[in-house]
Amino acid sequence: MIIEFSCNKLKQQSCIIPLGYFLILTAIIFMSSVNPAFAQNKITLSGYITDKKTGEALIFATVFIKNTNKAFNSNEYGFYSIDISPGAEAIISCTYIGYLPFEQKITATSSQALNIYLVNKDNNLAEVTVTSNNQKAHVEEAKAAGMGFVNISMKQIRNLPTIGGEMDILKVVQLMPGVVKGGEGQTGFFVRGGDADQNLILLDEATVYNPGHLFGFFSVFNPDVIKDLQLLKGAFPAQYGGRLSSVLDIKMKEGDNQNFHVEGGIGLLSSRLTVQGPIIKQKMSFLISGRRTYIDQVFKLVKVQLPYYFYDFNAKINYKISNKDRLYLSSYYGNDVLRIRDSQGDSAGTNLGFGFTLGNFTQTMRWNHIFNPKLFANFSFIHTSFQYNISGEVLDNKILIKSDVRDFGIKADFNYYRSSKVNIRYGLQSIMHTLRPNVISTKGEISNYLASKKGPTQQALENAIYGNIGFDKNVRWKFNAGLRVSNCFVKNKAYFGLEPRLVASYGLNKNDAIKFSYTRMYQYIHRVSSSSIALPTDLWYPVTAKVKPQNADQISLGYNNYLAKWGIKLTTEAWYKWMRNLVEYQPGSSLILNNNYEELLVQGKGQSYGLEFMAQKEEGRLNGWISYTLNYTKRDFTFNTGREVFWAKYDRRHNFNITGNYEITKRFTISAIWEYISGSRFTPIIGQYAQPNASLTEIEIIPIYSKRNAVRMSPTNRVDVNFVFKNKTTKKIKSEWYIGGYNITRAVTPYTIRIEPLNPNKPEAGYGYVQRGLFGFVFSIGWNFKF
Amino acid sequence: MYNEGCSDLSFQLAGTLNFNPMKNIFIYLSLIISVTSCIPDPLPLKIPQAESKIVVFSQIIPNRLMIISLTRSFSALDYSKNNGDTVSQNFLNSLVEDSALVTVNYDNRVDTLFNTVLGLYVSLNTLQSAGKSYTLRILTKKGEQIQSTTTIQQPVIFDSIQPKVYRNLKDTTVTIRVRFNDLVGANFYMINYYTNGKGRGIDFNNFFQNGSNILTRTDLVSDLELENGIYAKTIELPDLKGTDSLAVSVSNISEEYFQYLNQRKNSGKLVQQIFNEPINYRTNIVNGYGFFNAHYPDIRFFELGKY
Repeated sequence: MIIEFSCNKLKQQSCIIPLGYFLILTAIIFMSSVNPAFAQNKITLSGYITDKKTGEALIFATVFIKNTNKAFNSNEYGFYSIDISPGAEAIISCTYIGYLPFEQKITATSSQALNIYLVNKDNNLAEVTVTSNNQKAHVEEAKAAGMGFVNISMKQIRNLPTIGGEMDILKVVQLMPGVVKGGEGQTGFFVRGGDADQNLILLDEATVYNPGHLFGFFSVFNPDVIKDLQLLKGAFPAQYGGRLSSVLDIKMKEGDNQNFHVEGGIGLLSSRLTVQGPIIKQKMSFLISGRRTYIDQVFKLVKVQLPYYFYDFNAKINYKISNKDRLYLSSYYGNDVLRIRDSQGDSAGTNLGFGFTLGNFTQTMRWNHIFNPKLFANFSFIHTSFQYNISGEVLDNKILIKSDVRDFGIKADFNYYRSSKVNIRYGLQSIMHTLRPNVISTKGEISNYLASKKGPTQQALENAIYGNIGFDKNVRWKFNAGLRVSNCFVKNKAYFGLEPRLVASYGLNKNDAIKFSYTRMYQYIHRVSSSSIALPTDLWYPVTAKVKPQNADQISLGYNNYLAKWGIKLTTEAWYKWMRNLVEYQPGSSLILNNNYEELLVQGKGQSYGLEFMAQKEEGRLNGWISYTLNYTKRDFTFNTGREVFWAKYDRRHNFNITGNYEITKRFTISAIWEYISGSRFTPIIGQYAQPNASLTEIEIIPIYSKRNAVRMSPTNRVDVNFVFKNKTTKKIKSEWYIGGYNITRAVTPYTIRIEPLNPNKPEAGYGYVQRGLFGFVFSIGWNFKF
Repeated sequence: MYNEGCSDLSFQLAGTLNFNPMKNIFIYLSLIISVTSCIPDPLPLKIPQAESKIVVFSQIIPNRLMIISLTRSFSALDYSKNNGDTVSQNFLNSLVEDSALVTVNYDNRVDTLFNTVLGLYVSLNTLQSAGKSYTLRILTKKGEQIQSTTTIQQPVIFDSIQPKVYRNLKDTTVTIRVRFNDLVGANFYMINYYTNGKGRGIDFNNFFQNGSNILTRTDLVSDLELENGIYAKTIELPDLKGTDSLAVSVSNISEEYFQYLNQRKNSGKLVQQIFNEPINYRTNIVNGYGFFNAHYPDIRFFELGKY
């Protein structure tokens, strides 16, 4: 249900709501700072779980009290809080993938801090045996009141083969169940029948609007700086909102606060270097990382012009102010640059030039504060900028087209560990979006045909307040219930949305559980792409008085099991999603430099449903996963040409992959991916006719299109492999060579359907439809190092 | 299917080898990439084509004749502008449907249009009256039955129309002040500006030949856009010379035809087809394509040399 208001006094309205939130926040802080006199018969152990060697916080590590059923997870900052009985001996255990388990006996009479330091097994999953503690952690995860999410371990994916050897976390996300990829090699992904703009991608809480370089072939995320990533596809906790289909929450490393490290890699397409270390030992650390392609330099050697490159730069400072306060500053800056200039001496005097830049800039400042052992808070200040510029020059004519999106946001999030059975999370968020599509500047004769224009600047103030309660009713029943109230102010309009969230888990036996969830989500900004192809230059728009917020209801039913004997997690989920106010362009819409987008947009409905299955083994010499998704997704729109019910473009029916790493020896690992995906859909031309134009001055050939997305392209069937050779572990500088092949069978992965001559040497042979792929076999080789 | 093979790049790379070892390493690696990354042969795909149907185009010269042009739609694989095919007269001739029975029903009367050449069917006797409905029926030798109905809208006439030519040493600017009154009810108007740019009179006898008459501009106006029921605008016509001829017409057209023309206007060119959203144009032809319409244009002619 969307509640709408027309705001004639927008300024008043837009001040009242944030002011109201500020008052609520003040009240929350005041109440939270009072130490609640709960549970007099329990005391609290709390603290941070970190890597013993580097000081990195370990996210979602599992802490449990041995010989009890109680298990808890650390939060996104590695903080945990558990209740124990005062005076009684308790064995506190902690596990985390890739780390040796931790155990400590403790007999406490009052609440105290207990920081836990885990020892890393040096990226060697094979050496991590599946202990009983590990098993318990996996069982707890299987039975917890959470579903529709995947935690992706960087250790498990670092050896996987990719195009050109560039490790790409978004390509790995595309291998997850419920996730469908777009075109071959691209970073765009579609989750449970949603569109590409319905994924919220966060890097240290800052939204990344364009996650791809080179039109989506490589992601902007340098894997050397990523600590953790979690993909949520459904059952969203109440602190997440603003997008219908998924949240990809990426956390950067903090920087080693004890020792300096340098690591990097040299590959065929790019090189990267990361430096991290303490500024003040165990108190303050930094991390700086850069990556640049040099394919333009490689081609320069052979006198071929390829004036394109991209670069990424990440920086972070982490400061432990006190035992209760920590400050994090993180930033990302990246760009794609293309500059073509006529370098032939310009004898024709054309002064021909073309340029293109596209980039993201994010900054986050976060302050963690521990009010008391049961109350943890995080306050964030966020800035995001995404912009692209296209420039052209010929003779004395110049054109510059700019478009940008800018966000300023604040967030306050509280985690209240009320008891061993009840965990409460609440907070509020406010983001000001400023969008400026299609700012045009022209000079010279061209300005007679295309005048300079500033373009409409649009602002949208998006706010939300939320609360979530996780509670264990008994050993079998666990619940997570929440409510998010969101709103968005735009010119002369305000929208409000109620977003209930519910997850219930029922433990069947020792290691398995069935689960159910319901979620409602609202989305207040959207990116509308052509029905043929999504490009990073597609424009973002806010809702308006005419274009309403997208919203979706999703239910899912799941079964989770942990097969302890083999160390395999099984996840099965069925879902159904109803989507409303989805956005498409009207048929025939002109998409070039058109600021009149409101008139071109039409809103409609969608449904998607399907079944996911995943069997995942995270530890051992052989590890990886098998994933299968059966997916149906439809749209229902009433265009100006009539009502159409059609399959979505990325309605890719079957999605199957096997992804694995096998450590043959301690120094030699082979990794492989096999993917089979049904083709995406296309709207081809299936006929033509000739017609004079209205003024009878010309004959035009008019295409006849099939029903929208009526034709399915051929499936993808592709195998990638990668071999990793490590140097001796006794060496001070650790290094490894990797040699890989993308698409070793040279299979075609169709990305478009075209009409082409059957034989260009014989015109009489006529035309036929062909499906072209982008890549054949792509070889990669590179070297990674660390010291 | 032909084999695309590898790019010439690999040969360029091979030709630049010299004794610089680092450079050679890069070149060898690039060579390996370029050779091994050859794009595989494309996959063929069979897609059923749209059934071939009759395509209707109509033109009425008031109180003179009604012309219906019949052609056939054809396969997407028979012609490809993207691959450089051109619209030749031979090609158009191959599309004509010249053996159909074409009639127009109106006022309890049935006129049979006679076949001339190149799929053109003409009636000299069909009276065109505003407010009347005309039903076109076509029966082909294959037994296809095609039908369409249109109503001639009340004619609109220019209240005033006056060109102005501003001549100076460097160039000439032509503007025209156009005014007409909105008719009663919901109405949609089409205003066309023609020139031939050759100092000759407008050639209305050779509509189907490219280059005879150059369309300068078409405006489609809904009466919702008019202020106080009046259309009054001064239009600048760039690229006209002071010696050119100019013809301006205004017609009151049906809403359906108005929407059809809007679609054609926004999507007709190849560039637009590439960058615009796919669209199947409206049609009021049952079991066919195209559009059957009738309207009364008010046409005014001007020799700009006199202004």
